[in-house]
Amino acid sequence: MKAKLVEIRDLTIRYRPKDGPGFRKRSVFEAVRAVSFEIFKGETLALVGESGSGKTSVAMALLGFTEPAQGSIFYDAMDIRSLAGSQMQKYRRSVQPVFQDSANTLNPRMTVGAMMEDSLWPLHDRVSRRKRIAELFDAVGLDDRIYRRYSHQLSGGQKQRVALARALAPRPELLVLDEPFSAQDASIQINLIQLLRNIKTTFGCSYLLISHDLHLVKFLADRIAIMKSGEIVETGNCIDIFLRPVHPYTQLLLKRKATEFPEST
Amino acid sequence: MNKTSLLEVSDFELRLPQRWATPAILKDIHFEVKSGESLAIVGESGSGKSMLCRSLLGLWPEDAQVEGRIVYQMPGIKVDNILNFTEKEMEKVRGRQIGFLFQESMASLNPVLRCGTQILDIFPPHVRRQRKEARTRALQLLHLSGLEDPSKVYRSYPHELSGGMAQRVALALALAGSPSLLIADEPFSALDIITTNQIIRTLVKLTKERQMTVVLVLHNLQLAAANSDWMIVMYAGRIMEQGKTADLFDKPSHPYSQALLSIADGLEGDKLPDGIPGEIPSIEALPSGCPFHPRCRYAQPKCAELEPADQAAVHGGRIRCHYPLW
Repeated sequence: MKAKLVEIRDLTIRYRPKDGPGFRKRSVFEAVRAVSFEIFKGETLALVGESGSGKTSVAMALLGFTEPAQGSIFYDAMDIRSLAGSQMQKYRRSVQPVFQDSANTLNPRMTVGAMMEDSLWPLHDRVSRRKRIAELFDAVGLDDRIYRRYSHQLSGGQKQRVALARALAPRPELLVLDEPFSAQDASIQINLIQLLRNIKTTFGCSYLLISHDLHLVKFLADRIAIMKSGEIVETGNCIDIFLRPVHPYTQLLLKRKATEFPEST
Repeated sequence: MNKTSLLEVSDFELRLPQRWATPAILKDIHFEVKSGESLAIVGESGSGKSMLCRSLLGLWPEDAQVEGRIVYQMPGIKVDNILNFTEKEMEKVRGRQIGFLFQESMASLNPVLRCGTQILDIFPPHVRRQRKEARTRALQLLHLSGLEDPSKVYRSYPHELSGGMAQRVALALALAGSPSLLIADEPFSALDIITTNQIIRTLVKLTKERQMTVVLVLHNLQLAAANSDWMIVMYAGRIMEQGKTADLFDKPSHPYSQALLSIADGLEGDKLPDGIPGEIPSIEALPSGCPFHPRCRYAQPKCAELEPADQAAVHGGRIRCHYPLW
C-alpha cells in the first residue's frame, strides 16, 4: 500500500464575519464540518462539489492560509501546526497552490523570467536558475521566447502554464489545483488535462484537484471525494463513483442534461 | 428588413488600433435575430464573442473604428443604424428594451446598495413612486429568478450572496425593465454544473413565458444545443458558420464547428478526446488566408493563400470555408 502524504482528520473551519460599519452582526458560519480524508503519494484526489460546499476552505487550511477551528492536518505524519522555521519553509515548498484565476496571481510589473527567477531563489547561481527555467518551460510546453514578456502579453492558456511552471519550481510533492478548469472552453480544458497528466508522469507529484465538474475530473483522478454543505458525503475510487454512485447528491452531479436537474435544491 | 426580425447586423467590422497596426477584432459580421428566437454564440476564448455582444449595445472601446449596420426593430428604438446614433439615442438602446447579463454578476452589482434598491432603480419613475407595489414587483422578480427567500435577498448586500444567488439577482435586474431582448454574455462560466442548469432552466422558462428574444454567449456546446434555435460559431473575430442549432449539431459543415462538437462529445466519454492542435491566434498576428487553416486537419494550400468568403451552406445557414464538409 502507498504511503500517506497528507492526512486530514475531523477538519472543521468556521468563519466569523467582520464587525463594523457595513457588516451586519451574524452568527459564526461553519464552512467545513468534520472532514477527514487522506492523499497517498503519487495519487490524484479530486474534491468535487457545488460552489460554497467548502472545497476551497479545505485547500486553504491545507496550505496554511486558514486556521482550522478543530481537527488536524498531517503532512508526512507531521502535524502542520507543529511545524516552524526551516520545517515550515520546507512544507511550504512541498505543497504548492495553482489558483483558479492564474492571471491574477502573476505580477503585472514583472516579466515572466523575473517571476520565475524569484521563485527559484534558493539557486544562487544564475546559470543554474536559467537552466531550471528552461526545464520547467519545457515541462509545461512554454516557448523560451515568453521569458521577456509581461503577463498582459500572454494568452489565458500561457498564463496558466506560467502559474504551473512557477508552482513546479520548488519541486513540490503536492500540487493543490483550485478549479483549474473553471471558465475555460473545452479545447483549453483538454490541453490542460493532457498537461497535468504529463507533469505527473515527469515530476511524480500528487494532486489535490478541486473542481465542480465531475465529468472532467474523471480524466485525472484516482479517487474522488464528494463535498456538500461542508461535509464529505461520499468517497471512492473514480470508477466506483461513476458506476455505483451511492449518495443522491453524487447521482445528481453525474447528470448532464438541464432537464434532469431540479429547479432548486 | 424582414417583419419578424428584431435585430439585423450586416457588414459589421470593428478595428482596434494597436502599436503597429489597426487589426479587425470583428470582421464581416452578418446575422439576424428573429423575434422570440434564442441565438447562441459559441467559440473558444478570444474568438470575439464578448466584443460582438458589447457591440450590439454600442459598448465598443472609445478608440475603436466601426463600420457596417446594426439595426433594431423594437418599440422605443429608432429603426436606423445604431452606428449613427447620438449618445441620447444610444441611451434608449441600452435602456429598458434590452437586458444585459454579464459574466461576472458580482461585478455588475453595486456593492453599497441592497439588491432590492438596485432592482427598484430600474423600474420607471411612475412604478417606483408607488413604493409598496414596486417592492412587490421586485420580490416577484427575485422569486421568478429562482431565489427561494426573495425578501431576505431583497434586504441583502451583494457581498452577502453566493455566486449562484448573485447571478440570479443579476437575472432579476436584467428582467426588471421587461426587455424584449436579453443578451447574456457567458453568464454561467464560473458557476457549478447544478447552479448553471438551475439558472438556465429558469432563464429559458422565463424567456418563453415572456416571449423574449435571447442572445446567449456560451462556451459549453451542450448548453447551447439545449437552449437555442440558431447558432453562430465564431473564430478569430469572424463568423465561421451559422445555422439552425439542430442542423449544425446534426451536420457541422465547417471543420472548426466539427472539431468543437467532437470535443464536446468526447468529454462525455471515457477516453480523453484530442483537442484542437495549437491555440487561437492573437488578432495582431493572424495567419494569411483562412485564420483557422494552421489548426485545420482538412487544410489545403488554397486555405493559406486566400481568406474564404461568407457563402450559403447546404443546411440553410452560412459558412466561411473553401472546402466545407458536406
